[in-house]
Amino acid sequence: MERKIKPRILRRAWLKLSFIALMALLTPHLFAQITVNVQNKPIKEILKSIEAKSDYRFFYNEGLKGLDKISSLRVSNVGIDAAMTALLQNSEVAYKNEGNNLVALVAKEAEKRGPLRRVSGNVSDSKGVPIIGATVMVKDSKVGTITNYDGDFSLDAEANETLVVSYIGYVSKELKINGQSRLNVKLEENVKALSEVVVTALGIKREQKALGYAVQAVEGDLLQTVKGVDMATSLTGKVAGLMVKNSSEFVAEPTLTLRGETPILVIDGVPFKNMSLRDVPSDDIENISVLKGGTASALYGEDGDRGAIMVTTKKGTKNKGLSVSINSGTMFTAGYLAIPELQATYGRVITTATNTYVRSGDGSWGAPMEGQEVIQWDPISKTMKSMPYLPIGKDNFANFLEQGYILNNNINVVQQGENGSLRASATWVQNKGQYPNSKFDKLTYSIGGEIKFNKLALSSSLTYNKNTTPNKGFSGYTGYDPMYGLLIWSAADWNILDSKDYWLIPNEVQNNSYTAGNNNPWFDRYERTHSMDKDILNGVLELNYDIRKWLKAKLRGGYETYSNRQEIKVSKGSFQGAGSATLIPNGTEVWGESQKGSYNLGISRGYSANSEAMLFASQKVSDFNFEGMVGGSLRYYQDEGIETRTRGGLSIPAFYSLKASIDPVQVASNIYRKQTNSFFGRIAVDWKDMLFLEATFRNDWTSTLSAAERSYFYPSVSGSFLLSEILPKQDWLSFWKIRSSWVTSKKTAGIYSINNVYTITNAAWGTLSTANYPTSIRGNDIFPESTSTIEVGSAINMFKNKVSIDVAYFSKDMFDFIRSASVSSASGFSSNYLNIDEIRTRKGIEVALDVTPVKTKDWQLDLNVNWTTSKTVFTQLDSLYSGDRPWIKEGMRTDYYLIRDYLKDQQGNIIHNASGLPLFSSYDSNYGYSDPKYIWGLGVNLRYKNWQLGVSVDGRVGGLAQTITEMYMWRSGSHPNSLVPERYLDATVPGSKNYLGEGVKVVSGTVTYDTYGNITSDNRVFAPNDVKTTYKSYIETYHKGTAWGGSPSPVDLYDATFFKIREVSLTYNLPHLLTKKLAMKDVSVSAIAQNVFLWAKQFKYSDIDGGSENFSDPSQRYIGFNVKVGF
Amino acid sequence: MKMKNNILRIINNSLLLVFLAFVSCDNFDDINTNPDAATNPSPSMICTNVVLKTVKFNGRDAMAFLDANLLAKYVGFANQSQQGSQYNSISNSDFGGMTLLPNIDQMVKNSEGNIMQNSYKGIGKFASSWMFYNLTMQMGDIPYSEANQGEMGNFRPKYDTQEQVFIGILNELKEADGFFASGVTFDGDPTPYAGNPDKWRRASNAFALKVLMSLSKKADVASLNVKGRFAEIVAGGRLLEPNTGFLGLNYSTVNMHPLSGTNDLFTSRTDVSSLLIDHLKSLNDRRLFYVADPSAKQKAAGLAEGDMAAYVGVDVSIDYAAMTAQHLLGAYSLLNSRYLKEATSEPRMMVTYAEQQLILAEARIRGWITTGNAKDYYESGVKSALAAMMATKASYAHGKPIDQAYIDSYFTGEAAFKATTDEQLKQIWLQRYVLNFMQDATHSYYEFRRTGFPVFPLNPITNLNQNNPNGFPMRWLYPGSETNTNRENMKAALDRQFDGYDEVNKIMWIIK
Repeated sequence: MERKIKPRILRRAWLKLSFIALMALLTPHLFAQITVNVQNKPIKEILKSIEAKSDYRFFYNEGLKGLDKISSLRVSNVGIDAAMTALLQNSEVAYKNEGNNLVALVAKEAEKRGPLRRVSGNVSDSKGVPIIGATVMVKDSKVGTITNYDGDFSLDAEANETLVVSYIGYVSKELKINGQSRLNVKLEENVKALSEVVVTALGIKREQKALGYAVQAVEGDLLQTVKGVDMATSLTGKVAGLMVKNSSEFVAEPTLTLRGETPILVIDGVPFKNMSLRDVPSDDIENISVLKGGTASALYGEDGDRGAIMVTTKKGTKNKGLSVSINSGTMFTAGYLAIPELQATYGRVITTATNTYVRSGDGSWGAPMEGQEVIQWDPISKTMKSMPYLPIGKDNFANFLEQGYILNNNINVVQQGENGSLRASATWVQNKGQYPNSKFDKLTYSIGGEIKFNKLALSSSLTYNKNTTPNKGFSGYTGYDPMYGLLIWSAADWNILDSKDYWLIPNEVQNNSYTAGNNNPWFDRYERTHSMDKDILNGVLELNYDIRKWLKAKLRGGYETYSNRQEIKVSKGSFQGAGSATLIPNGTEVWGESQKGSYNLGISRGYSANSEAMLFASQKVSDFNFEGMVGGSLRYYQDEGIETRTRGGLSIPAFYSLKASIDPVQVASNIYRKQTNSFFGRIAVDWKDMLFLEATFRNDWTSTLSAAERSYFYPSVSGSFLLSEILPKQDWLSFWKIRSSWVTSKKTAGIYSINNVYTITNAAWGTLSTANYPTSIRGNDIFPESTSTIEVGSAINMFKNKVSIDVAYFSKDMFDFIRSASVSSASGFSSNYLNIDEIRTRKGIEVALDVTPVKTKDWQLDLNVNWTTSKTVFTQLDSLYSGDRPWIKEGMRTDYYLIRDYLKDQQGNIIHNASGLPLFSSYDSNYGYSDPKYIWGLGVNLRYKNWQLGVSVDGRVGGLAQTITEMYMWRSGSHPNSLVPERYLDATVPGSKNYLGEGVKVVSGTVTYDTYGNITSDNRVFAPNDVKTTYKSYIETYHKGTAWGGSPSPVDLYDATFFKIREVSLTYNLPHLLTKKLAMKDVSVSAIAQNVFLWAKQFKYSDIDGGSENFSDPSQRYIGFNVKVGF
Repeated sequence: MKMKNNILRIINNSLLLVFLAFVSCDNFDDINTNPDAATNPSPSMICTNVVLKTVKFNGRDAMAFLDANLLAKYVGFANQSQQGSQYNSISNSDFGGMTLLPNIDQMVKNSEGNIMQNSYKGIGKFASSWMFYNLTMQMGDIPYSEANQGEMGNFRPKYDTQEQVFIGILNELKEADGFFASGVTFDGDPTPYAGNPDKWRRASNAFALKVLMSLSKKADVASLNVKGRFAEIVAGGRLLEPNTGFLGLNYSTVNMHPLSGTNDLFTSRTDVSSLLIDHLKSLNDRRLFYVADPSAKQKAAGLAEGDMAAYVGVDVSIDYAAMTAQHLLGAYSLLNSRYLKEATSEPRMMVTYAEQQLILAEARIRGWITTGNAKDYYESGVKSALAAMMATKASYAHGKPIDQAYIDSYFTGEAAFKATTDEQLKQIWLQRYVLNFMQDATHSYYEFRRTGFPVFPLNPITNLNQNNPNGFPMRWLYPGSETNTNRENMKAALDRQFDGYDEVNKIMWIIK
């Protein structure tokens, strides 16, 4: 019973709240009876007066004749019938009270038709949910009505007439009355069909079929069952051309690239600068439409040059009244898809003189752990003592990891009224990471509503986000990730479970098996921390006004502001500082004074404002439909940050404050500002709903270019043609469209980048500051970069929309690049900042296939497949600045991966030096390409009655990536595959060398090279390598490479091919009969899983999903459940 | 109606506002101005930058600092992984240092009409010659006459012959002398000279002597006039004096010595070479106690810290694994712990009276000058070097600190000035080698190239000089970026010097 009461209390509370909010927003007084006194006004105006003073609402066709007739009305406290009769007498207009304060106005001529009879009915969607506001018209007449809140309608019509029922987003239906008095109509939703309405640039809603470019939509409810930390993860593989890279690092956001570039994120029509998909809870998403390629830019300017992800958030609902829904997801870590391992045979190097192991963190290139007595650190007695040397820490990593989880809870409340709605939504996400002291909380509260008032519509939303974590940790080798000291430079000769008490002297000295390099991992997580506390507030206000039937005005303002406070605390006695971590955007890497302790504080804040004003016009002229738009926008943003840190250590250990600084604190700040003013427009024409053409233009004025170059113009043209309209009707062919577009875009220079200014360094030496002249020449007149994209595509639907295929080909020329082009430093400058005369072309093909092989009342199977390939090549080279390299040639790919390969003889054998170590070339060579050959995704949805099974799989094929984790596993001696017999001999017979590298050595002769690295003469004679070396020396050379830059050795450059079962969900929807009894609208329960299975071609110990690999945190499999309840 | 009118008005006004905003792009330049960057800084701030780029260690970290000392056989590095520089692996150099030149131009330009301008011009000439000297010493021919023409649109400067580069360097140093002579005390000097133009003039001349001495194999090339220039500078009398102090930098707790606070991760594995230790022992030189710690093994065997026998250096050419094994046995002397523990273990000394006097001693022996005598030059130089070491913390000297009495009695036995010029030269070179430990170690490598003394250990099995396992590499390769940005000019330089092949064993003009 409790279950029933709670929602009621809740509902009451929300009712009150929404009522108060509505009252505050809506000024009209609500009266049951009508009192009006209007003299000599058009009937239309008088109707408005009634609307203003009562809660009656009138519906009528805009073309209804007689409403402009001048009339008068003076009534006091009368009912609607009395008022309407008085008003409409002697007019051509009749009224019909539809109940619930709805009044329809129709032409009186209806009465002039033949014998009329009352026809009533109900309009609902395929699930039986009533559709409110659907139009029901008598065909070829002006008689019609609108459905009420229960989807009911009634009107008078002749017995043989036909009714046309239509509603946006649904397929219109015609029904012969055939003498019936009751007609129930089910409208089919237009989900898959290409008459689907999608949101395009600036929020312009257009039908899919009219678009001359590729757009793919994802419905919000697809993202609301398996809810991870980031909704973007659920987008992986769902859109052709969209690559989502999901890093396994704690709190790392997925990165999205669309056709190889980073798309702009547009939320409710506003291109917010500081928001990411993380800041939009999946439960607030109505739908997402992905505008591919530069077509989005035509109207968004440079920020949209790389495509756009358009998020439309939920506003109201279809059903009037109050609805509350709760969606709660819980997932726990259930194993790891990829996790590094550590060999447990060899331990540390033992200092023979003292029989003590080295404590400086050098990895595990030492003695085999065979139980011999060695003087070691005992973390329990906290002394050095002789103990048997054994792999007691072989499970250190597993013992250190903690149970992770993701909680994702949302409650939202919607009040849908006849003229508006109010929605409030609260989301709480908590993520517990793999490592101790890693917790991330994300709170989102958003409130939004719409008000319709005659020709005016106002919608607004406000969202507040708070992201906090006490320790987001440090990642990557140069950040001294926990793996650095726990896996790589550690040995399995100490037990992490004995080291939980991590102080030797509290706040000053660690209880640690190591004295340098490796922190005690517990100490590392609790005493070397990076906290974050971030707030983002953003809002949108949109005003639409119908000036005329054919002319509409729209005003939209978007504003966001954020602040972010980050602290890095490094305890005294830490062996590592903060590494390459930063505290503010564009801040300096902290590194820090490790052993002395340090406190670092960064505060960043900023805002962006985006306002637009637009006028829309549309006109139909015979078979042509014209649409036009002009508008202007103002976009300004500012980001600033201040970072400060202690110097010389902390005066009091564990006193984390700037006041603790022994030397004067170091402070730096930055600020970035940019404004872009734009004027843009669009004209579209369609002919017979068959041929569609659209052109856009935009002119920007931007602050980052000089006065002479800051104004620039760029147009686009696109069109589509419905071939299926002219082909003979075929049963199997439902729809066939071809489309094409040409779009140009421009991109300006970076903030401040055209300025020739000195870099100032405070107190560079003692009290003296320095000024450094730029190393890049800035004297040039920089003009915007350009792109020009051609796209062709085709969409075909077959077998009653059971099969649909969409194919797109695009080719994007990029030119006038603004580059800091490298020049010889002997010129006094390392680069020249200018527009270079190089052209690069990105080409690609995207295929999206949707198939519904089974569709019955009980069964439905939907498959959707996405496949994408693209590459960028040099199309034209700049003779001065493109670079003089063998791999930079017209037609060759731009994502080359350069390495210095092993020196090899003509048979491909590695050449060894006199010490038996492999040799490397002194010249770069191109080893392959970093971008994947293609990416793919597969979605399977199976429904049986109330059960639904969803599986999504995605993958990438090809592309090179360096494995930094495995490279260091090899270099530090911890790789499980390094347990070769030679290693044992090396370790047990000190000074012996036992490893023979496979390959050759040079017996005599020399080789010479030209400046490209080509051999110019070679008289070398080779013999098989017969020089033994130690396994350690060999491996360190063979796996040459660092995390500090430079190229890796070829063996650590991996093929990044992988695929993942991304998500699995099994949902049961409770039958409506049951939910009704529970006083709920709908209830569903799901078993869910994310990051379920990974297969990778070469990356076995770490997850390459994030795109690059540098001590990736263990990749967690999440399994859990989700409950959705709607009231 | 009223509402509708209001709304219309709002829309109209907003459209108007947006339109107005277009036509007013006036504030765009303000928006795009970075308040944290300066367009017209004082010459003193540029000067500080120029001086720091010249005398400061600008490498990445402690490991990079040790690298030059590995190449010059001062130390060996055990236990982590083999360092190529210890085993004679040399790769590409870098022209990045030439970005100093526009800073010099701006420093001089911004001091127009300032009484300090001549001093700044002197600094500019000194810094420029210092930078070019180091680059040409590494690679051979380099761009000189067409260098720094980027702002004039020349991004592909031709390479000048090393001979021409040296003429340029020497002329610039002569100009520096003139500018400092007419200069006044200037602001922005981070060195202990604190803007004193006379001290700078003396240091600049001392550096000129060093440059000239490195040209000893080209002493008779007429265009250079090495001997004449040398004698002229000495005759000018504006050289460093014992109390002028060094040109360099004093470290502090904020501006720390590069090896300080490095958490013994790298530095604790640094073994001092037998080359240095054995020579110090033979000289009975107490600097041994300042540069090294006693070997743990010898201490365990009962030897006292103050006993020179407790100090065992590593033959830095032995196999790395063997070295590591011995290192773990505690066989070798580690780098003196003051470098790790103290923020200010010792100052950075780039131009010193000690080195100047040793150069004068060599010049006197070579007959480039006729004033003074070689023995006095030698002894004054060494005494100054010992005094500098005496100025560091005595607590790290293992109970054998240098004091004045020790200095006064230093010149006995092997340290006493020898009889033959051949032996004298070796003594002088050895003292210069000792002087540059943890200072300008790369210069010791150049000196080794010139003099062959002290004799660096060589092991063809461990030698990473692939194309010549029986010899040391003689030069750095040209910057890899030049093949991309200035290939034709680089190729011309390679063709005329090294048969077109950029290789480390090729012999550049100065050491031919």
